[in-house]
Amino acid sequence: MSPIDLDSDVPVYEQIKQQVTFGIARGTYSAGEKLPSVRAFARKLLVNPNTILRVYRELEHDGLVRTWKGKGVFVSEDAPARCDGAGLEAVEKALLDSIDLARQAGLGARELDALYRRLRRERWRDAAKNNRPGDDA
Amino acid sequence: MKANDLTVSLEGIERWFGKEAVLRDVSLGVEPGSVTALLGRNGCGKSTLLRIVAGTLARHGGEARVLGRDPEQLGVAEREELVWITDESAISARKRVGAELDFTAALRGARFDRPRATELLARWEIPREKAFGELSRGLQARFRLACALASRPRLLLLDEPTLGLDLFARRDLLEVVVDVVAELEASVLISSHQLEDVERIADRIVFLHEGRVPAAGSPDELRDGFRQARVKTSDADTLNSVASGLLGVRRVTRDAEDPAHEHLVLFDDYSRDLEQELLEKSGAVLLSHHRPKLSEVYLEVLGAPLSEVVA
Repeated sequence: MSPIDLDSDVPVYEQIKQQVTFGIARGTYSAGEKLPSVRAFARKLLVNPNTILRVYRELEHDGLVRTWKGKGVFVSEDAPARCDGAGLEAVEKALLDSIDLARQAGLGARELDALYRRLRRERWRDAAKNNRPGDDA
Repeated sequence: MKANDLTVSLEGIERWFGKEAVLRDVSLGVEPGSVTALLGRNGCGKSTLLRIVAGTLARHGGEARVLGRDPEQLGVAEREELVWITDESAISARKRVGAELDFTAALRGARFDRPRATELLARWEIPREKAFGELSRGLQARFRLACALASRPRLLLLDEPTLGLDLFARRDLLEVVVDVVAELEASVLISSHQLEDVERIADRIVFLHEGRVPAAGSPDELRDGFRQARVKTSDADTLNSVASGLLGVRRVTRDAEDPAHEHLVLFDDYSRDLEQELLEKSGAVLLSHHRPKLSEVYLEVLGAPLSEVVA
């Protein structure tokens, strides 16, 4: 699980919600699997337990998890299929934001493409060095 | 939520020391199973407020309910449910850890969870035979936390608990706060300088400044409320007069980069509708948005203006 970025524009509960959603899409959490208890999750991320409660409530509202009283929170059967496009969607949005920013900053298309390729190569190299492709849990 | 349902409810609290008013008008509520953080500069009255909540200091005005009672008249039952950790330790430096643990257990009575205390002492490697004064600062803090958690409080008061602690001790403290809330559904009222810790664990932040509460809310509410918009207009006078008539707009400043056209509008109760109204009435055009970090809100509320920090 990636750490929390407190200074991000994205609220903490949304960051956690996104991490769980990606985790379901990637198979880190499979259908029917029990998610960490509120206490365990809050301790791991060092956030307020009510933040985790909110994440679980919203995931339940979205139909991605189900809460069984006294047993815990479980990934819904159809959640992996429904989370499938979530990663792509989020990446698309982030890329669009950076394209908008580049235009505002007056960066040309070629400069932006070159920048993207360089940064991507650097990140891939760093990830390989740390022996963790991408950003796994 | 009604005052009686809150673990702590304060309305218009006042407290004087001689001729100096340390608290002038402080109101706040702590819901059961939640964490409220008091943020303010040194000497702003955080400790005074916590002492009033703990019932060890009389208030000079206002209404207070703590665990359903006036804090100045807490009974034995409420005292057992309230744990107050402060640096002005009541623990004698010469007292052995084991003896202090026995003392706390006797004081707390049936509520005290001794196996839990033993487990925490073992996990944090706190030697029972040592005198309290011989422990490092971090271990002293951990010992207090172990006693606090084992006391199974309904209300935990923490006065600057992270002062002088290293990262590991801070982490242990945050874990205890998580446990108190998740496991015991207790409430926590914490005063701290550690903005990052507060942002992680607080449901609600209450700023204290010059004896009053200039702003309060969840970390997200505060960051959303104090948004800053960069706008463009050639008619600065209209922008200023519209802004001064709108509740929730804090200040308009000229942008240093383009003072003739670009302005920074700082909100203190931002909403999309409010921003829309400002733009429509002033004819200004929105260029960009800034959602401040909590540290920027802190500086804005307690002193330095946000525009100087981010612009």
